Amino acid sequence: MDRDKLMSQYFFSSLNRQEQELFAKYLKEDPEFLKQFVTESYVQRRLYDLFVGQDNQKLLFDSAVLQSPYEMDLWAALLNEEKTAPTIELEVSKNEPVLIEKLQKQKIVRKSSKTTLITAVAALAAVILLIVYVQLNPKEFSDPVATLADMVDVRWADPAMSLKRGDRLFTRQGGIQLKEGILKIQMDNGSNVVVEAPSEFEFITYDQIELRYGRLYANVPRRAIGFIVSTPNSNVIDLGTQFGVKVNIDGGTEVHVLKGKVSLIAGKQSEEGTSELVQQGQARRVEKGQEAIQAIAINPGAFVRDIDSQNHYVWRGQPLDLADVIGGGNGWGTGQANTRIDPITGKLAQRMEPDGIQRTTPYILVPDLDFVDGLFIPDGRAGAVQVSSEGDMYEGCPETTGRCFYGPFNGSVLPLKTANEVFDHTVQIGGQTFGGPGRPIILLHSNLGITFDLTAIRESYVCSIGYLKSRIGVADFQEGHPCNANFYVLVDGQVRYSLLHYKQKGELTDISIKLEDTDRFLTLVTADGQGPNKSGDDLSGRTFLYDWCVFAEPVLVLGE
Amino acid sequence: MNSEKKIEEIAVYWTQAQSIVSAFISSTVPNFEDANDVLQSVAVAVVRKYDTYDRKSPFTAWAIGIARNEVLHYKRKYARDKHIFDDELVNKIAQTYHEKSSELDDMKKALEKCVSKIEGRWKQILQMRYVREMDAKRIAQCLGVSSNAVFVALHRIRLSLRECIQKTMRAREFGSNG
Repeated sequence: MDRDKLMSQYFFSSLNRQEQELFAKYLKEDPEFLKQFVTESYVQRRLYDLFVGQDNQKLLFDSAVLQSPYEMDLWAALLNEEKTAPTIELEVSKNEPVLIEKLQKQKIVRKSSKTTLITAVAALAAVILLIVYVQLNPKEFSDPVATLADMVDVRWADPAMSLKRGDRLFTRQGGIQLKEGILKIQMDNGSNVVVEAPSEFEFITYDQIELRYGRLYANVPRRAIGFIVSTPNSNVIDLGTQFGVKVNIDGGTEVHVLKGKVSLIAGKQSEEGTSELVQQGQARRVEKGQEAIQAIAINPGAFVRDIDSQNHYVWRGQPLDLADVIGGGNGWGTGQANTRIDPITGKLAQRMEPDGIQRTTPYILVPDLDFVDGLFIPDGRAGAVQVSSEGDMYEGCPETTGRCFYGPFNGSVLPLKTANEVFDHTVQIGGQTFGGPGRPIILLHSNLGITFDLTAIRESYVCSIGYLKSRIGVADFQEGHPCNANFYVLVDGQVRYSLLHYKQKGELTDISIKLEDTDRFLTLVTADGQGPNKSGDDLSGRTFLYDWCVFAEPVLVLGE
Repeated sequence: MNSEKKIEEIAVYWTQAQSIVSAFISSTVPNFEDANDVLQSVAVAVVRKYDTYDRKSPFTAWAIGIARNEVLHYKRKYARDKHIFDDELVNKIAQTYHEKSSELDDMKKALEKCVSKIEGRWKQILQMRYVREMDAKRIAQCLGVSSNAVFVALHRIRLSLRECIQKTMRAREFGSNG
């Protein structure tokens, strides 16, 4: 057998018993081969020191190569090509391998982490003190690897635990047991981890967490590829992705991949266990004491993906509710129901003022709501209409009466005015009540436009926005009176969607509009389909009066 | 000698010897984490036994001797399989490390120069091998490719590095002679 290949197998893989004996025989009997082995094993160790040691920072992370897009699939394809490269053939033994590493891994007790030694390599005078310290205090020795970024309703299992926001977290400090609440952890390698109680976890290295039980969600950037979540019976190796890991109290493991892919290795010894590449949208389970990987249905809502204690925000992937935003909320139910934005002042108001409002100001800012940029009355008779605070213009805006009622409304009970009487009217569509919990709406009686600031949402929640989804139609009010409404969705002043001359009350049409990361302003517009009033100010008989336009269940789908 | 001066002296010696000592350990204990544990034990033993060190002999040779004992101790304690590196072979490897120590030290710069030339996917595969400490099989599992493809890649990198180091050292030798 080729001695060079044998040596590579020794360094990079495994030798079966026969190959081990042969390798040892060569080393014993051939002084030149022994010298070559010594030289090459020195090279192997130096490579490790260079890559892992302080030189590593310069060697790897400043590399322009790693700043370029990381094409894992391309890389895999290139490696496969290498397999058929003609000049070198390295055989994989078909015999049962006897793994040296496996045998040596029988020892579990470790005195210090890998980075302990890196420090030792780097710091000359500290080296001995460090080693002596480790020797004397093996359990206390640990490295800082992460920061506790945020926490919600936390109760620790250990009453003496007093971690707080901003505290550094260390390796090998024993398991952190969370009895109640949620933690958000920012790891030094750039990964974000959210842990939900009840759970116990421990940092093993700068890129490995052991989850003993509970739920953990990891969002791993490309530069931290290789991040590992180990559980009692599996290892999950990240390949640049977002995934959740759930460990039942009995030790069974579930992995749910929401984005990218991970490598799931069942069984604690990777050489013994089975493994599988788990792709986006897939989930797998490994039962306690087993190495078989079972496919299960993905449950994207099972994991808390982000928290913000200041905004009372716990995000499990649910979409952001724009109706709640209009009610002054954060998009997750903190807004007030039956609230509108006054189209004259741009302020939140409880009472409805059911008088017709004429367009006087081109664009009304809404400074009190972080995610609402402003309002306007669409009327193209005087040309393009301003639709954002940055001056985006809506060219081709339809000509309308230039009037509106009420302002954007979030809720279910509308104080509707008929003649001189005002009475509460429940918003219904097709006989079903809308505007309450579970069926939020934005009531946007024509003619009205509202613009949301997508950048503010992205920055606030550190997420991408994938889609606007909603169901549009006209509410059942004032049966017998015909409506005729136009709906538009604009992005940065450009029409992305329109539905014209909608005359059927009580029906809803689903819309789904893809949004790009570069999109800044999202505008919803309703306009009367009948056009401008040709008989002066007399509004009687105008269909526009009955255009009770609704954007039902209006949401932004985040993180896709 | 006061303890402060002693620690300073050991630190200087240790810094010079560590790359050879750690390479020797890694040659017989291929898993880097395990090798680091042994290295740590060696460092502790070096401190404890420093008073027995004869300053007339090379420190590296003395430290390799301690490392050899720690490796043998480790193998007896943890490795059930003793076929590949028995005591005789560990002694031979330790002896060869001692003989080649200055040559290996000379190789350091050439190696660093050659490593700096590695780019792109090869640098990334080295990162998985040395930073993530994955063996070829595990890298293959992660990438969804065959183990053989990863073997070939690592083998090629190894041969290329060897050639580069030899060329670099020959050029340096030629330069210094010329």
